[in-house]
Amino acid sequence: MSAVGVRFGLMATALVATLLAIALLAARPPTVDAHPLGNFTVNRFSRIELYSDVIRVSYVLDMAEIPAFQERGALDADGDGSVSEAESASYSERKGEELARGLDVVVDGAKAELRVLSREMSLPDGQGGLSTLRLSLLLEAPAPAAEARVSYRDSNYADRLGWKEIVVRAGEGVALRDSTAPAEGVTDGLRAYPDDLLSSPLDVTEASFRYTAGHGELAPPAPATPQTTPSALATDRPSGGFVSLVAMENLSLPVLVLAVLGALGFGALHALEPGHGKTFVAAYFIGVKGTGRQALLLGMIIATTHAVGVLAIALVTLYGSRFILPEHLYPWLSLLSALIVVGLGARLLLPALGRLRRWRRDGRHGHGNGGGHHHAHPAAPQDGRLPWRSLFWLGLADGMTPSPSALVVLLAAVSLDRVGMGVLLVLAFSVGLAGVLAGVSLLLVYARRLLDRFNLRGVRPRWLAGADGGAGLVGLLPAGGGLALVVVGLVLTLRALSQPGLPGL
Amino acid sequence: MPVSARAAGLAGPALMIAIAIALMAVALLAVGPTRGADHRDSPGVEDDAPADITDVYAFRSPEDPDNLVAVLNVNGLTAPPENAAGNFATDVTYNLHIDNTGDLVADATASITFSGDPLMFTVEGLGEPITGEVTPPSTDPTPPEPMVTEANGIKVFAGQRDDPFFFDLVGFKAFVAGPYVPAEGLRAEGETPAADTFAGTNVSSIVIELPVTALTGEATSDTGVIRAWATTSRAGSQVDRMAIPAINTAVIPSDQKDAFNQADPANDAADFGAAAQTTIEGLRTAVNGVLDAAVGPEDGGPLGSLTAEQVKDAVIPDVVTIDFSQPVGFTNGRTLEDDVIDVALQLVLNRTAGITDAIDANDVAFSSTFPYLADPHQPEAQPTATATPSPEATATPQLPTAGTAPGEDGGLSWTFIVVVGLGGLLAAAGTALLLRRRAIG
Amino acid sequence: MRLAAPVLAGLLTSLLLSLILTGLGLRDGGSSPAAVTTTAHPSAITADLVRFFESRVERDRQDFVAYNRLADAYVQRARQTGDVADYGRAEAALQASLEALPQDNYDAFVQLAVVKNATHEFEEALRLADEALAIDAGEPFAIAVRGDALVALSRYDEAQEAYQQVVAQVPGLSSFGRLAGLLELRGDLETAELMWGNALSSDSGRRPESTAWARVQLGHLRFSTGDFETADEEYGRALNAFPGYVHALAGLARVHAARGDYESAISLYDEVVARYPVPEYVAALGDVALAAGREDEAARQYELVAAIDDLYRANGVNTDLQMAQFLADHDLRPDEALRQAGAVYEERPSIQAADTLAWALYKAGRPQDALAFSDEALRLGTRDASMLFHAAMIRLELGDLDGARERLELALDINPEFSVLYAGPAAETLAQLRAAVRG
Repeated sequence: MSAVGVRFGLMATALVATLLAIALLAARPPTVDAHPLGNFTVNRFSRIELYSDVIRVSYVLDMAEIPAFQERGALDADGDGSVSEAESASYSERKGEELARGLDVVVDGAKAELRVLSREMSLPDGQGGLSTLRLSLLLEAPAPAAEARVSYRDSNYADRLGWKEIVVRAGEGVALRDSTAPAEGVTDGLRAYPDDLLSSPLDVTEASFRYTAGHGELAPPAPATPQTTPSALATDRPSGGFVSLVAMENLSLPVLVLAVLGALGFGALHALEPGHGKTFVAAYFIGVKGTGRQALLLGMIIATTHAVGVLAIALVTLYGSRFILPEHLYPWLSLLSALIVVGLGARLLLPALGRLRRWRRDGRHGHGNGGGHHHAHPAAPQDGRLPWRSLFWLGLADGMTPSPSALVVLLAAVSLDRVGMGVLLVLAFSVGLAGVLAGVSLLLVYARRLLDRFNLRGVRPRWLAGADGGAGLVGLLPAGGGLALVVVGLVLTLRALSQPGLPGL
Repeated sequence: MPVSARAAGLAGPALMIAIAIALMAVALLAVGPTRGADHRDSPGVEDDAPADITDVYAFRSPEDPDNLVAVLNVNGLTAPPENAAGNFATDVTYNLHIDNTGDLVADATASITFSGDPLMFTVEGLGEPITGEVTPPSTDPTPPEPMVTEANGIKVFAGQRDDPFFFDLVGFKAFVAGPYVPAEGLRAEGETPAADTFAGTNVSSIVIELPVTALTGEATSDTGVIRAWATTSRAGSQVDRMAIPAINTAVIPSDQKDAFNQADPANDAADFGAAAQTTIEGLRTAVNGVLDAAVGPEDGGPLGSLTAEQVKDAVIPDVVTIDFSQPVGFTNGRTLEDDVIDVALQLVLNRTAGITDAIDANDVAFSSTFPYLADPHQPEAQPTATATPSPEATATPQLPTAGTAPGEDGGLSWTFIVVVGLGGLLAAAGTALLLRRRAIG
Repeated sequence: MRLAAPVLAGLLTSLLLSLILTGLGLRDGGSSPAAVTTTAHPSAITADLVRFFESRVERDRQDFVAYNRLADAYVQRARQTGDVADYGRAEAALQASLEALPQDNYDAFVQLAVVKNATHEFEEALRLADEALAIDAGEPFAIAVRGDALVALSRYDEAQEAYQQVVAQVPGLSSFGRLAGLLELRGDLETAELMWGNALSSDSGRRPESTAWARVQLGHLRFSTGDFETADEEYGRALNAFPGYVHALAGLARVHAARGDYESAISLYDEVVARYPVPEYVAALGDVALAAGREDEAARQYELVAAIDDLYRANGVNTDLQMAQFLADHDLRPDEALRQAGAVYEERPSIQAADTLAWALYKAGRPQDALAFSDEALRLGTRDASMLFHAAMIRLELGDLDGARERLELALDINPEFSVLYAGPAAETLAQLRAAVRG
């Protein structure tokens, strides 16, 4: 047997073993899967999310088999042994109100009214032919002040055994302080309990925290299904960490250095998050022949624009919000940025398309790129080279929508009387963000050069470059890059248009 | 048909994962069913912690070198949440015996008893009886202020303190039970690092400070020899006794421990000498069998090279001997700072090299004023959120009140390290680029 | 790569810096404002203890001392809350302890024996207690736990010997209480009473749950002799020692039911069953509901008992006699009742097992077979009204009218309200028998 054969054999064995193991697991009698916390637990989970003007509570009640069975008198109202749609709805409505009454949200000493926005109930299969009960509620209380101390208490099923967990997190635009609860849960909303035997179920029924609402950014997610809220918020994780930097105490030099490095890192991380400007920066640089110097310059432009943008929006938020609300400004900015991207893409695409047309017409033995083609677009890339003016627009497009987390940092800094620190961190954040984008551009600059020079055993492959180096794959790059830019720009435009706050849409 | 190394390298991990899954499946299948319990089960038998002496100390007072401080501790390993339950028993008499003639018969015995509510102590046998209030144990976040009773030139404290003993009992027990070549301290290779088993826990302490001359009967505090030991007794019969640390644990065979605890030092040599010597010899043989090859032969203990018999004579009878013409410190007395386990173990094994439990100091600093033992550990004012530390909980930092690098409960968050690392990387890259340009330019 | 070196250096420096900064006191300031645990409720202390030792074993996976203490805290918590899962946790902790120190680990063996007793693996408990005693001969806790296993295995003489030894060594609540329970079982109620007195007067109060346990046991004893007044008081004292103690609440409910105050009994049982839904209490709630004329409610509770039984069975939980007793009492599935009672009796022929088996045989229409087991159940002279009632009904069925009357009289003399379900029928039957004699 050849080496490949051996490899194949080993892999096959591994596969079979895995399948066997899975089959073995699957073959276990289903009855063995007890509720992980025991059959008579009543488990509760609260995720408190803070937005500029509301406090959202995603509440989950997970009843194991026995308490669920004890509920069936209330559930199965007509006593016919099955739970109808209507019975389930009326039960969850009643239960929802009942549970809401057991939750106390006290904002600055005053009890806030919790309203049930939506509820969802299911009866997942449990052990012994019984079902468990899972009720998810989304509740909301108004947050009357921009800054407040909040305490939360869950007094439902106080003396029942079970997992009791509270998570508190800030939505975009809100700074959270002194929270006694973690921002991340350990059970995925009571869906997966830790299986370390030597750790007891969480028993947290109270939390308190302070928050500062920075005239909020994004509106809270639409109250669809409560289940979707955790994942929708999962991406702003680094920003939470970033915000914490501004609140560091003992501002000694090393702490400051650490904070700045952290801000750089958070900026870089933010740039690495999916859906950010690096896609169109990359697309652009694929399409054009940039230089290393231009890549660095682009970074500087982005950093400057971003920092200035954040400062400007912060100023608007702080002083100009009587005239214009930042949340109204945001969609416009992103729309503008998206349109610039479309424009840049179009400028790249149109001449390239012209070349492409010619290339096809002339066939593979065509005569390179003829002149006189670019008269209609004086600013468009010449010979696939990147004009400086486009570079500026590119940087602007990327930097002009300030990262909400940077804005939050600045606002938090203002509320903490640490404006200097906030500006420093925002600058560092911007540099970090720009650095990554510049890095991406730099990478593509070199990649492009490599591609331009690439040859196979002394022969430059035809599919890569046309006979005279004008067409071929390299020749297609501007078209591809332009197309990508236009598509990305259009998507961004659509997304910007779909934001609330744009009139008539 | 040679097996391609590369192929094996690729398939290896896959195979291992598969095997791991299979093992997991089997383990899950093998988990036995939990079975019911009924509430008629009897509760646990109360241990006799209030009568169980954990340690005895005798040292010159840091405040007045003419005074001797004697410490008797019970209620070992009291965890802060159960502080309130850690107190002295009213049906137990706590005794400190002093022999100043060398006949191993007590010439003076200070007997401490407890009664009343609030709990009061009475010290008898040191002239006029001294009565004072016991510092009540508490579960408040701040430790209680020690109440000191002073009478006839004698200071007395009774109440909860930090356990001053520092010792990796975990490594020690494992090593003595079956000797191996220790990796760190007395821990075996691959185990968690040595830790002070008594860190963070409390004891109930009786601390008495009195003039040395009152004990020796000498004119000055620089002369005279005393032998001291402590006992507890209930209804006239002795429950426990203690003098030299770790002797009971290390050299008295387990089936004789009860008898030993109820015996008097005067009979020790006759009743337990032979057994102790056998234990010491056995321990040496077992340890030498392992360490001779790895570390080298016996290199002598802290008092020089001693035979098992000589060591036996040093530790039996079990009394603390203090020669006041010599500096007071283990083995001449015992101060709070003495690393007695290392010394005792080295003595017994006749080895110094490689014999240490790697715990060299107490977990908290001692006080320079009476009662010298550190304040008791109090239950942590628990932020409810840290009830169960979880990786997720530490991954997302919140706005901390004070300057935490955003890793909760002391752990360093990986997110934070990554982020700062990324920042550092970026800063370094930028600097490098700049430098490079300048160099080129 | 000219860039590689400075980049790497930068990365390492920043890593180092962050580590150093974190190490430098930056970490201790981070504590959030705290919910101070000044609550004196014993279960809060147990929860804190659990947390304390969980974090210790988290730090040092070899710390057998902490594992043993943690297991003890888990057992405490299981006793306080009825959360059987804690026994699983205790066992896991003890296995880890024994892995860290396989020899000379007395505490681990004795605690493991406690867990095995709690999960009704009595042979194993006995073996483990012996193992503990091999390490530390004469330790009272191990002897006591050994005695517990012996009682469960119906080896009453050996058990009593063990308990007496423990009483001699540690005269306290747990030792006297054990002896008292055994004496009760053997029908010596006077001495049992005396021992309970000793137990409570020697209580150190260090473990409030133990105090509550003893009070509840004494309450049960008083109840079984028909002395509802003092039973009520004992349950009240248990609740004083341990607020909300579920077994004390159940005891109170039973007293209310015996006095005919079904409404308060139901509301108490509701509370008990919400927190601690074991078949015994759920069935009791159903019985009271039935007595109060709420048949639907009763049926719902009986259904819940059946559901719990299904669950227990799915988990391999040994419900022991509770289920067999329930089925026989309610004339449900006589074959199943017989099978379960027989299985338990086979495993350990205690007097309770013999009694339940006799009752199940009677209900299955086999009074002839039942008689021998009923006699066996009463061989120690246990003054248990319920057992005597069973014996009486079996004799009645066999035509031994005098024997039946005698036992009914005794049963009702001991406790005229021994059962919500059967006290009434017992009194009626006795009246009929007396009438038959007269007539």
